[in-house]
Amino acid sequence: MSTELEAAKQNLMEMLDEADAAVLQNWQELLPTVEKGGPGSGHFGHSGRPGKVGGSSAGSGVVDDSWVKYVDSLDDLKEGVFYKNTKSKAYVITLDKEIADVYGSKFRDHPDILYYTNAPEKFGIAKEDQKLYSSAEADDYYWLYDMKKKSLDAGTIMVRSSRASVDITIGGSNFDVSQLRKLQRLYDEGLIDNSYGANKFVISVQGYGGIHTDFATFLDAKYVLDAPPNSGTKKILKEFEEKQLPIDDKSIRNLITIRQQLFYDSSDSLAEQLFTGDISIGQWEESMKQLIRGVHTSTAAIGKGGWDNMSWSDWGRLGTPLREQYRYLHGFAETISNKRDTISLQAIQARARLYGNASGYSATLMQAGADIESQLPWMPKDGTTECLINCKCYWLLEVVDTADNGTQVVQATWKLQQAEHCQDCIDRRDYVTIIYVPKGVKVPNVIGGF
Amino acid sequence: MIFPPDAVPNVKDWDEYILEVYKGGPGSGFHGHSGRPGKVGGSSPGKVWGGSQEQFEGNKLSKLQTGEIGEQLAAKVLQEQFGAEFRTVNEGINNAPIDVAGDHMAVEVKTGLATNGVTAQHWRATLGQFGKGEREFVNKLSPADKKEYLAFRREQIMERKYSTVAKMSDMIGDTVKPFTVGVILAPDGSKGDVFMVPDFHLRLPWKDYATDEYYVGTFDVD
Repeated sequence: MSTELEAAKQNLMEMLDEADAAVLQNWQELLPTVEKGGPGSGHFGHSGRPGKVGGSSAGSGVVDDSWVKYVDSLDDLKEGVFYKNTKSKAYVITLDKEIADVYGSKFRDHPDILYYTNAPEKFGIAKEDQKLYSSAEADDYYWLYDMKKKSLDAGTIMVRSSRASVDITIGGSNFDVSQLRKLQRLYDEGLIDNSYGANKFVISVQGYGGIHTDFATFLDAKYVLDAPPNSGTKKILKEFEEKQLPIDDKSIRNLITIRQQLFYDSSDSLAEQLFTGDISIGQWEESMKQLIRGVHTSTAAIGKGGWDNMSWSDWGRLGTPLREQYRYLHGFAETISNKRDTISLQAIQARARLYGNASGYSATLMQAGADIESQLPWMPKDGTTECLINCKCYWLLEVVDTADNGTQVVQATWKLQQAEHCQDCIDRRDYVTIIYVPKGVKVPNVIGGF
Repeated sequence: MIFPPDAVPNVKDWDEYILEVYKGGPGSGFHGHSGRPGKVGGSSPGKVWGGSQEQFEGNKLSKLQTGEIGEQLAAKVLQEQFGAEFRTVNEGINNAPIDVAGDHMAVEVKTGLATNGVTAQHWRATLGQFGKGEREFVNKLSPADKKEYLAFRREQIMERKYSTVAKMSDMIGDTVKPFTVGVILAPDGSKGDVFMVPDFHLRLPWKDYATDEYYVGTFDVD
């Protein structure tokens, strides 16, 4: 544990101790009535809150600011001080000068408010914290869109928004694929919308065309925006262009691995929310369904070489494995419900991850295509081996001849890659079969292996 | 934890006691609700919560008002239900572990509006706002540490409630029982359905808990 974290925890514990002591003090004062148990004593022991139901004490001249502590959702802020800025899609609290003078500093400690701008001095917010955020921070789930506010009133506080729509701009030589995992979490949390239409969201990679494919093929992005460096948002949108993004065989395995890793992050997070009671089992199951659908469709598209290569027939072939996964998921949900007193978070997370593993089967189906799959005796991850969905084996395909009518004669060999293998897979090692693929049907080099 | 700790003692016995009160036993003589006085699960024609989001054109109560009305209504109902004094014990205290106490009971009060949308139809133990100075500590944390800190903070919600209840028990020399009172207010704040659920909970979905099983009655707000 870092020193900073230790200090923060210690500080929290001290604050909570203080709160507990105060409550116990109130309890101490209440003890005589508890022991007496006298009904109808009719005294609540507080002076009430001016203007509120049940409160009627005379004003003492001290401004009542206790309401601030009850604000635990931005939507619930007092009328007139909170609005959504539709242009920036961020949320802004604007306090009248009078209110700002009294309440302004209270917002400083509000957990929903991360950023401030043009805050008056008496807010006590350091200048360096009053930034205009022109780009998102990938390390934080909550992003602020570039406000570029020129005319904010004194007393305006910018707040983080869990619903802001953001463009994502990633550039520079320090690009790290782990950033994409964070993006996926943002997407899963609904922080990234599809305001651009058909694609899930837009990623602009400045000056790094070489990794366009990486970006576009997972995270459900269908298009990549090829914008020049330093483009403003409007310009980027203007120059938006659709690109086809073929994926070579070599990249498929890596992309699927990354996409599954994104699923693991999300499923781990969901399990944690379930375990801590933030969501119900029903909500967890529904959210897991969405994740499963997402990872299966993504890996299928990757297996197929790109979203635009997916046909209606391909999408149809995904239906059966998806329904099967949903059925397993429902059984898992029932298990959790039945074992709620004993099941551990780790157990939930581990089993939930298996649904991401299973998505590899969807990719193999798409890689193979219906013509090839129907002729192969088995497929990786199809459940016919002891290792089930953990199977890392693959078919190695080679066109060995072409018939006069154009039919391709293909040799398919079952291969094991470096992994722990079950006996079934070992028994199948180097199994060879010959299949016949119609003219014009693309024969992949490999099927499976992820 | 998603599930109540095993450490909570004898909740079942307490449930039975509460049911006795609801059914018209000692201390059941409450008044002011529009349902069937003294009955558990009385289907009141004047019930606020009809099972789905209510449409309302007027001025919606703020969260602040909603919370205050709910707390005071809960204290009043408890007082009338159990014939003992109940007080708010969280006045002016940030992150107070409980809201109302009295008569061997420590109560968390959660209030919502009948206009709540589907995703807000629950009572939830929320994180309190950052305390004074806490932000300074949080700002120094790395993203990973911040995540761990928030998780730790969340853990404290329930742990603190239970430890406070234990101390309250010590002080009185008897067992103090944890309860959650859920209130669903009419959008104009004129009345509220009151539900009482044994133990503390991080989240209570209305579909499961705003039910006849936990229904105390519907009460006018003074």
